[in-house]
Amino acid sequence: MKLPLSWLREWVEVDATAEAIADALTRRGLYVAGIETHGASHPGVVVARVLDVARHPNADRLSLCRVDSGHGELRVVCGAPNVRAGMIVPLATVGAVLPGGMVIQKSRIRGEESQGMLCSARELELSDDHEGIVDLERLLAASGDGAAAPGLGVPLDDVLGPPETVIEVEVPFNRPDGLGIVGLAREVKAAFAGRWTKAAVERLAAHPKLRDDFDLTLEAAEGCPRYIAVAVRGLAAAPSPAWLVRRLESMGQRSINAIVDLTNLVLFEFGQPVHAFDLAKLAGPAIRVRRARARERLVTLDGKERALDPEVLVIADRDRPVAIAGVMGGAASEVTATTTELLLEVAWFDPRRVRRGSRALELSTEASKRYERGVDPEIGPAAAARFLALLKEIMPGAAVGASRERRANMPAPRTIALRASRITRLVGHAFSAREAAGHLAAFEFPTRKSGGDALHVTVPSWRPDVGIEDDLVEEVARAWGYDRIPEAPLETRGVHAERTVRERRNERARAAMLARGFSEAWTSSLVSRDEAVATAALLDGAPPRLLALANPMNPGGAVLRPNPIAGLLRAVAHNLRQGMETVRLFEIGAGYVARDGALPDEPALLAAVAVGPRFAHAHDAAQQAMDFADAKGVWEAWLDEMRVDTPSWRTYSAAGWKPGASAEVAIGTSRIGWAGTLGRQLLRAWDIEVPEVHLFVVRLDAMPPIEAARSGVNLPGRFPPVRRDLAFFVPEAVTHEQLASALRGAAGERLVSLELFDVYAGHGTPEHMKGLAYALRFQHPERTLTEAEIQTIQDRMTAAAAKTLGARLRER
Amino acid sequence: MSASTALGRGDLPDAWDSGDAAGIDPEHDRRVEELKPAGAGVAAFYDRAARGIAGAPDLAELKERHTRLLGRERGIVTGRLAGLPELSPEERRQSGRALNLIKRWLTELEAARRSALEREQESRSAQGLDVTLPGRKPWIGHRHVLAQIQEELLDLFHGLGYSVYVSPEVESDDYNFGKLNFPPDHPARDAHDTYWVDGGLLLRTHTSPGWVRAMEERQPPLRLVFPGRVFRAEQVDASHMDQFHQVDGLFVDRDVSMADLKATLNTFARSIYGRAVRTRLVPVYFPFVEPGAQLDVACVICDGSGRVRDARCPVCKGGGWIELLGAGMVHPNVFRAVGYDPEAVTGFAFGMGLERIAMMRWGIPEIRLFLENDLRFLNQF
Repeated sequence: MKLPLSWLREWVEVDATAEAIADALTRRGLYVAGIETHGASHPGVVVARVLDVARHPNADRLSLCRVDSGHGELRVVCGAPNVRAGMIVPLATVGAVLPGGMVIQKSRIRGEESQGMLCSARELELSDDHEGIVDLERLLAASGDGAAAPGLGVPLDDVLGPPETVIEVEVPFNRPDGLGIVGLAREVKAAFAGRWTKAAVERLAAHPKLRDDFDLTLEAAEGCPRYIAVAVRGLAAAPSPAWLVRRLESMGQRSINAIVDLTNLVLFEFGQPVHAFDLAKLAGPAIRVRRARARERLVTLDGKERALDPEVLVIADRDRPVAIAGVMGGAASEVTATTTELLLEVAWFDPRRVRRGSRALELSTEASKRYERGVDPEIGPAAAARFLALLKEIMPGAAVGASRERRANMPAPRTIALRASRITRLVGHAFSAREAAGHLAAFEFPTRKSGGDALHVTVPSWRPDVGIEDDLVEEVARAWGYDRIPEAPLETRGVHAERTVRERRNERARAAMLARGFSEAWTSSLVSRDEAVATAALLDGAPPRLLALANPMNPGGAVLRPNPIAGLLRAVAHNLRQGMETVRLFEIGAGYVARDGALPDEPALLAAVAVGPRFAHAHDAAQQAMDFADAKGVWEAWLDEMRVDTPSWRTYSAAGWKPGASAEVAIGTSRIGWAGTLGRQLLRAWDIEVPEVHLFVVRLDAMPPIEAARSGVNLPGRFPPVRRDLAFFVPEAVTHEQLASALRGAAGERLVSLELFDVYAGHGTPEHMKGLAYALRFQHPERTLTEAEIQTIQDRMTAAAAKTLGARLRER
Repeated sequence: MSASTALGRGDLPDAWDSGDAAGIDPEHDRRVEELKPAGAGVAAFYDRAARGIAGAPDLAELKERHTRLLGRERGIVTGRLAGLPELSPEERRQSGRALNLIKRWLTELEAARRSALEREQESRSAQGLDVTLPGRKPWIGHRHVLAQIQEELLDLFHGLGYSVYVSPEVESDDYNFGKLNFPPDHPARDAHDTYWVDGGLLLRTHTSPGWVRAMEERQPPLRLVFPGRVFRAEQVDASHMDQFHQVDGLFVDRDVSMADLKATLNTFARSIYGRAVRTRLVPVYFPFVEPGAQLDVACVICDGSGRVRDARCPVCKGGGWIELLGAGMVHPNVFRAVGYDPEAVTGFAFGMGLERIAMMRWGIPEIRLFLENDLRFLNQF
């Protein structure tokens, strides 16, 4: 909402600067977004007429003009192509100061004297137009001020009006009164302990004289508790006066015609939408306020034909709808420059009914915006009186004809009990009932003492937002000033903070990925359906239970991601496109999986991708592209740091992975994650053209809690371990995991570590077999193991491996 | 010296003599002289042994020679020392002294020769090493900028006694709006462009539904923070994103006032912007608080003046203040919705956006950067 200062001063006597007013409004909850000055002042610029135009003798593009300045004839050199004899133009006389600071002096241009300057719109800061000099007749005609051509020699500022300072207020949803100059003026008045002007007092009390003879029926009174209809006859085409045009321009509203301009003026001034019908076009003439009937249609003022339904409240004449109540009028009954009689509508509609109509028709207007939030139900008569008074000023022949007001079920004034103790308790500063009453009086809330520390407060009709005691607490607090609220000492009050298990787990998961040289990504929760399906397939054969948006902004964000993989692949593609060769990213975030009859599951997931070489830098043979084993080593180290003691890696396959290069990770029988290298075909869907992208995904919720992962400590043994190497031949299909777990199982607790140190094939390897060699360490906590004991364990391990997996000890 | 302890030059290879014992032991000649009373053979043995140590060509040969002389099981000197008990007391005294001297001196020589050889070897292996060449460098991971801001905020509020409460991102209308006192058909809903999920659910438009869930679950006093992702159905551009991140806070107890709120918010602002930061608390409307408030901080770019080099400050748009967060006293209807008695308890709540804080702190012009995950951006943090 714009608040022009000159308009404000018409309503309240207040002696403050624009900055002080803006600051006061902001501190009272009407946030000021900025202060702007419209127009500029132009000392020394006057209205002049071009008498004749001759070519400049020494320059093709310049002309030599004779100009009547109203105070004599002047010679002016002009470079504008549009200058012509007879044109009414702004002339900057010698000594004039243009808004940019330029001072006009007598000068010689290419040998010819120039006694002033003809100005373009940009030079006057009227607009950005720099095409030619301003044609004042056309400018004034366009702004509706078609009155007699301005007199020559008149200062331009008298024609255009003085500059206007406009405060831009961000009116909160709950303050419909702030959408009118009157409401803002009331706030300013309270802030500066000012008073209404005499004119304001008269206007607020005005009430039109109604004859009670217009054919008006409220058929749907629940949607329209108040309707004032006033016929006005004897209209004659007349232009809007300059002050009206300027006033609307300062609100960002262009002039249309005098009648429409007046309805807009009243709308902005009182926050009360008013509508004018062309009376001659109303059948009856009559007004019926009712719900639309099925299949009724109306062409609205914007030229669109709209299908109505019974949710929509309409204004109808005897036969058919002529306006959508509180939203927009109909085109057929629109007033025009030739309208000779009109019907003025000043109504109060139920906010919910207007909102339904506005939503049903997907049409929001200045009027509907105000009605939806709640127009002052008592301001109608004053608004009607103001419209009629101004109309009569502009069109002296205008006379009120048939008219009527109908009311039904008007909202009753609310009274709220307010305890001073409640204010004190919520604000943290002691208030007495007397002080509270004083603050409320400034906002024109009548109060009455009601025993003890309580007040009975009557809520003014323009404040529909105030409904409960705490709303009044805010009124008192903002009148007193939030600035004055003290800072209480911070106390624990017996509440201490705890880090949750989830927080600690996520923090460790994050730190452990950072330590492996992975940067943290935060990716979109919204992905395309194809992305969701493809990434879900990596982790589960079954089709995912996706959550789709009913109103996506674009297909790339049509569904909620089942996991963060798609976002990471987008990031890989983006970074590769930007010329990076290495992408190591991880994300900790939710996936979203639909569930029947409940909110969706939002599992906490960690996903990581790796593309590129092993080292950030190496210039020797150590630098290689990361392969499966490099990546797996990273994931293993991460699991280690997450205190997953013995994750088991099992072969796993699903669509999207590189065949044979994917695995699942489990603790016991519970699967906690997946790892592997992605297939080319899958990568192509993200336009990723690098050979190997390694992926790791973990279900963090399935991980054992970090606290429980280890109980107690193993004291380091004092007796040194004994190292033995064992090498086996096993059938090709046997995995390391199978053999290692068979060996561990057979060895018992004296085996403290088992580490693979070689995998081989070829020379000396039996057909269809492969070699796996392990370094074993045996240890007893209390003594040195004997050779015989170790041999017994080894024999047991060898036998078990032979029996279950067909493993043979490799002879040295 | 008896047979079992007798020593002679012949016990050691002739080739050992090529070593320069005096070169590493200035005392060598005197030591040989000193041994002569124990027998010419003993002195000659020592002379050759010392030369052998001094002349050992490399560490392996030195070890070999040392073992031959002093090895625990088969060393010549060790063996002779082991034979001492068989001798008569007089012989034992004389031979024992000589053997122990030999052992001590050879041990010294071996240590000296060994360090000389090690130095030689090290300098040989370092030859040609260009210490200015870059190293074999592992990757470094960077925490996401929003994670850093979030962590900073949560740390701060943790210190003020707030624990984290996590609530769902996909919510029902009731939790996102209804129980937070957004009446059905109320214009305040228009400020929350909502993504609807098929089936009537929605993506939460703020983290405040978490308050409702927490209060339904627990009884006061409560001091909680609610970090998380929120969604608005908006076209994405440089300053709008359809997903962003908030941290809400909630404190409910028997008597919590705006004075407690102000102290908390100012403590927060000082921690983020420094102790000298100027703030102001102004009224603002949110359906779920009453009274409502907004905390502004003096613009960090123009220091609250609104002007930068004679032009309007681009960050605060000339106003001198920047909105930092929204807050207020929990609305009685919200308390009623969760089954609290608004006469028994009061509470305040606040909420802030992570992106806004990050954008202000680092002058980040584009909100889209946060979810784009360009490594050149991420790795600056």
